[in-house]
Amino acid sequence: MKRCSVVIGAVGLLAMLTGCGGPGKSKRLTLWHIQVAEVTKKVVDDAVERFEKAGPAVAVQPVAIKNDSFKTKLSIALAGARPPDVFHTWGGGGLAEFVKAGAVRDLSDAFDPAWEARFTSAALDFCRVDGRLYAVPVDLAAVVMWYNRSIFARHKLDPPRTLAELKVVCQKLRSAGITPIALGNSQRWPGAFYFIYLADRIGGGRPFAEATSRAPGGTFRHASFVRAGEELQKLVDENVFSKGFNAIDYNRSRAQFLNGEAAMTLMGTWLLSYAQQEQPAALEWIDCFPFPTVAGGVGDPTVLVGGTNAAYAISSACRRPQAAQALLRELTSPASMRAWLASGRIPAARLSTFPERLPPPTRKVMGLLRSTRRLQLYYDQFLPPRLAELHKKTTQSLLAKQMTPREAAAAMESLAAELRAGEKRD
Amino acid sequence: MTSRSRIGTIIAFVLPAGLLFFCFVLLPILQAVRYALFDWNLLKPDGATWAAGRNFSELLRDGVFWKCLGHNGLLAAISIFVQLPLALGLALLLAGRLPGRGVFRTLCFAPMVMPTVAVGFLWRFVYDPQVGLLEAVVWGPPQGWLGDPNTTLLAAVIAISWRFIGFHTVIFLAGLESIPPELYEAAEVDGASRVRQFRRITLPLLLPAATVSATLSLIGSLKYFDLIYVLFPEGSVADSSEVVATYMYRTVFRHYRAGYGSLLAVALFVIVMVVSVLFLWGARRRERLVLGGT
Repeated sequence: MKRCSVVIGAVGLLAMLTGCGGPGKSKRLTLWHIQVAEVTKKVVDDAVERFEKAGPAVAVQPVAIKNDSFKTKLSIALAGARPPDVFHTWGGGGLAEFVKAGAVRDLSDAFDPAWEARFTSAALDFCRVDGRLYAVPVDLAAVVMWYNRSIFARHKLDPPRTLAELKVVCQKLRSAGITPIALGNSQRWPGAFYFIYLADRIGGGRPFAEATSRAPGGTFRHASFVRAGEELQKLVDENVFSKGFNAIDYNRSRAQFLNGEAAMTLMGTWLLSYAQQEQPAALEWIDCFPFPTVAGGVGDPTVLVGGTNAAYAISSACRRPQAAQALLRELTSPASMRAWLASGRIPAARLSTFPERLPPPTRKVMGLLRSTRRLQLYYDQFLPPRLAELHKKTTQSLLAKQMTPREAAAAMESLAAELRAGEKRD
Repeated sequence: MTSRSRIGTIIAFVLPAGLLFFCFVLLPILQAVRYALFDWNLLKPDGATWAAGRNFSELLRDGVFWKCLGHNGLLAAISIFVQLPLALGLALLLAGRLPGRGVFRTLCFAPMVMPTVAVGFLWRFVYDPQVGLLEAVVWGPPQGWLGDPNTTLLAAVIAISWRFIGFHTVIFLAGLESIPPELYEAAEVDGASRVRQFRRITLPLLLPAATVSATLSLIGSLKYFDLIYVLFPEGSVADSSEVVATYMYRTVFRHYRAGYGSLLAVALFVIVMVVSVLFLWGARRRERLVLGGT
């Protein structure tokens, strides 16, 4: 009996030891991404499979983490001892923060110009920090106003082109008992789309660019931001949004729209991917129109708010950068791009051949993307983390009528100034 | 046993737990005090710069911190002056001869046993502005219980109270059962009314249990994190239901400011220490007055 337990104990100990793997012992490349949805997860897994089959015996361990907790997990991992080799990024300010901390590998010389030229320049720009390339984009996303064509037809409505027309459409829908616009703002970024679009339509892209770069004369108290806040609060007064929008999350608003309970929703092109998964019948009646113009505004009406919602970067602690770069190539290869497009998303590279039947909403959005003159990156991805959090907070407060537009603008400006003073000091 | 071997035995028993306590409780507190003196970007482990003066002056100016502290204070006040009396009432009900007492006691304690995240989801459904129980049965503010800055704190406090009343009920039940029934019998014989018995026998003898409950309530409220975070994962509208612990979490993990976040944690620690020491001292004095020296 005693000998038996000794043997069992030894075997158990041995089993535990094999589970231990220190850095360097593991032969796998770790890949952290946010594609938890079936359809898009398959795209990543297929790319990983192609990479493993093609290259020298390098295994990849993909880890899918939910969007909400991804940023926290990643920042802790990058600051710690076992960062992932390849990780997902949204580019912009979040990536810049990691670059400043020296946690990301510079990829400017990793790929030849011909390969880089495949990508849409806007998508690639989102992956650059101070002119150097730090990530490679798979996805291009744009935010448009999606609407339910059958509801519109039933109530004899046309897609509005101006903000005033939009309000009229919303009134008619409200009186018919339909929620005009689905909005779930508890995560704060869906509501921010409205603010960004209003600010851009009213004042163009220059006020934001100058305010963030702290160019002389650049300020977050610019009249376009104040007016954007005012127009946003007017929309709330007109009761165009879902009931209790600040207390419900984005998944609910998406469900409201896809179930036909709401007629419109201002959301990114990833909505189509979710529709494909959750409510394929919706693809029959989903259509989109660009965000309306504002009377007296000087912004370019073709400007789209968007970004890259999937780009991949390599951590500077990666021990096999060549293999990681090869993995990046596969993740952004034409095969991956075609699969990405088929899953309902927009690829960041130009494709020579298109999958056979693209759903009409996708085709329409790609048309809009082709004719846009500028892609405005979502503010919360562009700004440094503290300012991004404040932007989301003040926009939510504006929607809750807790702050006046001037107060919101002043708060943003004073934090931006404080951060710039801090940078100069360090 | 000689005193030397006794000390040896004592040390041998205390050492493992003591070591764990030191490594995982004391040492991190001391480290937090140290980090609080620096401006440290979480993403740059080696890039801390000295910022003791700046961090401290920012703390004093930080409107959000003082607002959070106010919310903590409100939570503590409601915990002590609303939860405890309700718990006492429930305990009195459950101490008497009630059919199915055991079942009721279990139900009472059940909210404490549920995982916090489950409780949070449950209450998010109750408060939901579109499909929520409250909306259907009672009423909801136009922006929703969890969306209207005027009601978020109240909503959170109700959920927290629901969770903890059972806990205090159990403490009071134990206290009630430790009161010798002869005292009540003697009082009956002397002609005391039920109310009189309650005031003169039950309440004073429950004072130790009440002190325990109140102290736990106070400390727990001041450092509370769980349900507030689950109800408002991205923060409440306009910080209307923010507490110091959630603010500290966001400062470190969303703003990546580990230095200032550590100062927030240390400030909370100091405040909780001071308040609980004062409270315990006052409570012990009262106990001695009421029950006679022990």
